[in-house]
Amino acid sequence: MKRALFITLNEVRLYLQDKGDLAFGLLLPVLTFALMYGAFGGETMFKATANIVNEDSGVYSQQLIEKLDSIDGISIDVMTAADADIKLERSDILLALFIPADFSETLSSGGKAELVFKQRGNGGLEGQILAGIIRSIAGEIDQEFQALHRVEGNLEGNDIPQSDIELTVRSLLEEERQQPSLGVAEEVVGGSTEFINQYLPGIITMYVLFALSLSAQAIVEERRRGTLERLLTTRLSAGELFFGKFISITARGFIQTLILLILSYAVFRLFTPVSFLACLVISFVFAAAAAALGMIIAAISRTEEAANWIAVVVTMFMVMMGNTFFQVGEDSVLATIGKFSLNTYANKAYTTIIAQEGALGDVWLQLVILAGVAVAGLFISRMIFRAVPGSK
Amino acid sequence: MKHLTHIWFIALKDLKIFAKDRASVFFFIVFPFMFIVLFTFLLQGTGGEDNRVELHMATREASGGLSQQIIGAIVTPDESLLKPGDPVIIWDKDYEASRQAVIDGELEGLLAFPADFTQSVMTGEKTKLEIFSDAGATYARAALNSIAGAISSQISTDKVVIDASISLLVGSGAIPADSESIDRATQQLLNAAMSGAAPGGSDSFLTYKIVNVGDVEAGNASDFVIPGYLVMFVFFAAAVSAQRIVWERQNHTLERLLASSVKRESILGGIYTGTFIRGLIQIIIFWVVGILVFNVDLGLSPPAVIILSVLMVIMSAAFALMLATLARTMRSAASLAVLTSLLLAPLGGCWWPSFLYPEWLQNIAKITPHAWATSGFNKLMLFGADFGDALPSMLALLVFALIFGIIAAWRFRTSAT
Repeated sequence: MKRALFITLNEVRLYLQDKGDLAFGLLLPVLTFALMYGAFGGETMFKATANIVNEDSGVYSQQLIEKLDSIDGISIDVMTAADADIKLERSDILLALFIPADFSETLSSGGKAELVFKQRGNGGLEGQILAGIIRSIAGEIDQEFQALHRVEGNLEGNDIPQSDIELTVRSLLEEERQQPSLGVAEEVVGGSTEFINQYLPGIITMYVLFALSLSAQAIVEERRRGTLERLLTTRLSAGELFFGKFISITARGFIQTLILLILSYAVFRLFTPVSFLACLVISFVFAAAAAALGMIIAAISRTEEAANWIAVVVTMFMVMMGNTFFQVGEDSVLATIGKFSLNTYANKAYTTIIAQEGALGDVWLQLVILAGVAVAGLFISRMIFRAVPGSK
Repeated sequence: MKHLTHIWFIALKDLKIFAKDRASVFFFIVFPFMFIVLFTFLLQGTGGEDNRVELHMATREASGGLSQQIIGAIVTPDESLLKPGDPVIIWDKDYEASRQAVIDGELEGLLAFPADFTQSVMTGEKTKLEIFSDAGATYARAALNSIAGAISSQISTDKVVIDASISLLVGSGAIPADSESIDRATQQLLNAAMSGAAPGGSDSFLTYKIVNVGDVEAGNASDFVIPGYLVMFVFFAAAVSAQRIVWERQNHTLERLLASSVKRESILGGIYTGTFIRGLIQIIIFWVVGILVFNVDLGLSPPAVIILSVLMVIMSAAFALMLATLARTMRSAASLAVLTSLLLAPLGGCWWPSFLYPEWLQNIAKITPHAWATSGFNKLMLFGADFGDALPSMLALLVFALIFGIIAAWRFRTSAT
């Protein structure tokens, strides 16, 4: 056992000295999470493209388009009527605004102008909101005509010059635009905290599993080059060699998770001391299960390339099925397939502790399954593990 | 001619090695389709929903307030009477319960009138509508903001009409300038505005016509999934092949080739051609299976999709060579290949659409060839873009290929020492 621990210490030392491995195991999860956090965490902005057919050459259609374009998150795609019709026909777009040729002229002459929404069904969720925003912007143009008309109605028979009416109305409208009588105060809940709770465990387990399963490649390389065989000429037994490798992979995974959890704590203040310790227990059991998996891959692979491919395939399968990027419905086929993924249990355990403020007792089932995989994996890999190619 | 023969033989040798390596064939040909099937299955029917936007409104005012009248006027009594695209407006009578529902995640958002709404409107004091929503409920927030904007705009119009009318009437001497007369006139105008019986009417000068051209049809998830995984795995396969180039350099295969009168340029060209042909085979399989099995729609300009795919292969092959020149050991080549492939794929929009990213992240993503390729594919295959719209993406991939290729040609070593 002592010799096995020496192997472990040596491997851990090498791991901490290998900048490439450290970058893979630590930098990549941090970058991936930062990427996802930037993309989907916190408050997200409504984004849409307004498809507009502008057949009017007047000032009001231009004003409408400019105002719409100035709204954050909304981009404008001005197209011809024929293009819009083709795209609507092909369902490439679900809603297009048609501004008719006489739009500005009609408004200027005091008439009622028409805006046309060509759409499929309700226009899709995005289209409905976009249509609401377009109506709201168009409403601002309408506001001036409406106000003028109503003031003229109120002042009928009082012989007040039209220029005075227009000047007063425009000046008051401008004041209202600067400081509206009825403003809007927005308050949001959730967001970044929910996002962190949902995705952080998944990202951590994904890269720990990646690193540990890929470590099988190094064992295969050592076997192929005869390093393991040379070690057997010392007083080290095959069993000690095997357990030394297993413990070293587990230790690597544990250290990797520990650093990532400490970073998460430093940045997001996710844990209490008790929940942090609980997460460490989960990390240790998960690292052991992943290490056992890595040992099986090392045992069955003949070449480094084969070990590499098997590790990537297995990890990607477990990541995709393990509630890492999307939540799988509980009674679905995917949920059943997901039961074969280590990440499902590890992610569930972490989420229970971090997000639901659970205790280790609440995740005993996940811990037992992961520990069971570790023991079974260790047993299977020991049975088929060969330190020397072709040996018994 | 002799050099071309050398290039061809080296390329052919690489292709033979690839074809015999069942693990590689599985990983780069079969494995991507496992993802494609999974995500096509998961995203099936996405975009086919055409539910109306549902907006919840509440008021903190006591009954009889102006806000109750406003909500009463716009609330949806019967959904079947709505025109296409009209939102369903629900009046939540219990403000606190609705707020709690938002906190609990049962409701996406809520628009509420303040307790002093009527008082503020009557006295001309400023007040605010409250939007309380979940941070992630992007659509609900946008919809609530747009309806809040419309209500605010109407209140502003009423205020401008009253203020302008009073100001001009006082100025012309039509009503005395004492506060009692002004208050009386203001109250009359306000009542008329609220009852909709104002002289001149409160009708809008804009009308909206809705032309329905058909139902919303579910998009084919493969139209997004296949290009994303094509970009990821073409690049991944090429990047990983750098490992073999390093291996051949380490075991002196490349040096032996040089000794047998094969020029350095021929070796470089041969490796590049082999990686390029393998990438071509990948994209042919992707698109043929995509069209025949997944019914992928190449959009209005299929040639642009093909050119973009080929440019992706050209760029990826150049990247593989560059990676092989930069990596000293097989292990670092493998790590760099996996690292770059797995980082650039999500950043470049291969796993989820990059057009969902915030502006700053989209700008960062532009340093990756993946982002240019996926945005080109998305434009062509999802949004009906034509050839011209995809030109910037094609040009960007070409520039990436040139940069990688120049670095590779300049730094390529046949010897490990």
